[in-house]
Amino acid sequence: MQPDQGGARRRDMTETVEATEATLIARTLAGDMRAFEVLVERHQGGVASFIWRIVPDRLDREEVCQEVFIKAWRNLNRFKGDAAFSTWLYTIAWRTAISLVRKRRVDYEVFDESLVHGTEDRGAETVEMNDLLDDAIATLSPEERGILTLFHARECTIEEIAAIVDRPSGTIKSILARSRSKLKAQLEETLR
Amino acid sequence: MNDDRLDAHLDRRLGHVQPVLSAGFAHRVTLRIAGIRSRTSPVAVALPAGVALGALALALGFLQILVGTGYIVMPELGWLSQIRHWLPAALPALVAAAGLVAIDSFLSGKHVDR
Repeated sequence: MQPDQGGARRRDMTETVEATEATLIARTLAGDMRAFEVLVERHQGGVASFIWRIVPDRLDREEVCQEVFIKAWRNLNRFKGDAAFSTWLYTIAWRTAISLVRKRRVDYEVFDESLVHGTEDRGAETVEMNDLLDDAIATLSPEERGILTLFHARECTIEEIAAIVDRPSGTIKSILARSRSKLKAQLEETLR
Repeated sequence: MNDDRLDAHLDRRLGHVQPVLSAGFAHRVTLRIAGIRSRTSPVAVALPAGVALGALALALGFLQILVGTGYIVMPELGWLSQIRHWLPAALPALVAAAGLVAIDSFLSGKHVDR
């Protein structure tokens, strides 16, 4: 490869990595798979942490994540930009994950956290609290875990969550309140 | 435990935990898509071809009926006047070809639904 070609390629890759979401979407629709790869890299963490909380079987999780991005690529021409791209992705992720969980009729109690690595404070008290919280979260239904994750981890608004899971805002508020009271009751009983 | 404290714990636990996807995840997604795209092309060609063949067979069948019932008298225009002779043989061949292409499209479409 000529040195100037290498430079041009590096410049092109830098431009791709720094491109705006709208540009990346347009380039993907024009057939540029490198642009789509950058979109996946940008959103894989968020989608994965969402999927991880809904799908209990760790062998299924990465497969579901791949499925989400492949569906996104297939339907990208339907993305009109009315909502954020991440919201649209979470809608696909929600449908894919919930459909798998319903199909498998998995045991909600079996929830493996072995692949989840925290970046938070690892003090003994925090670790203990995190373990208790994980155990409590694992007893919630996949729907409750997903909605809780969208609200607390992805910082989605009630309206955004309602659009993602296709339920009225009032229902989302009730599910959040119910999930919180279940967690609170469980934690209080454990800490007693 | 009060609500604010629970919220703070949930924000921290759910928000700061990042699952570790295996290395090269994004690249593997695009590789799978490349595989899907390569399987998509035969469908993209076969489906319109099947439809076109089917339409041609239908048109020729209609022409055959019109010629057979005498509604159309084939003019003596060189090779065109020979149509009445090869129509009966060409029709089943066209229908069979359209059917085969349609089956092939259907089977390929089982793997690719784009």
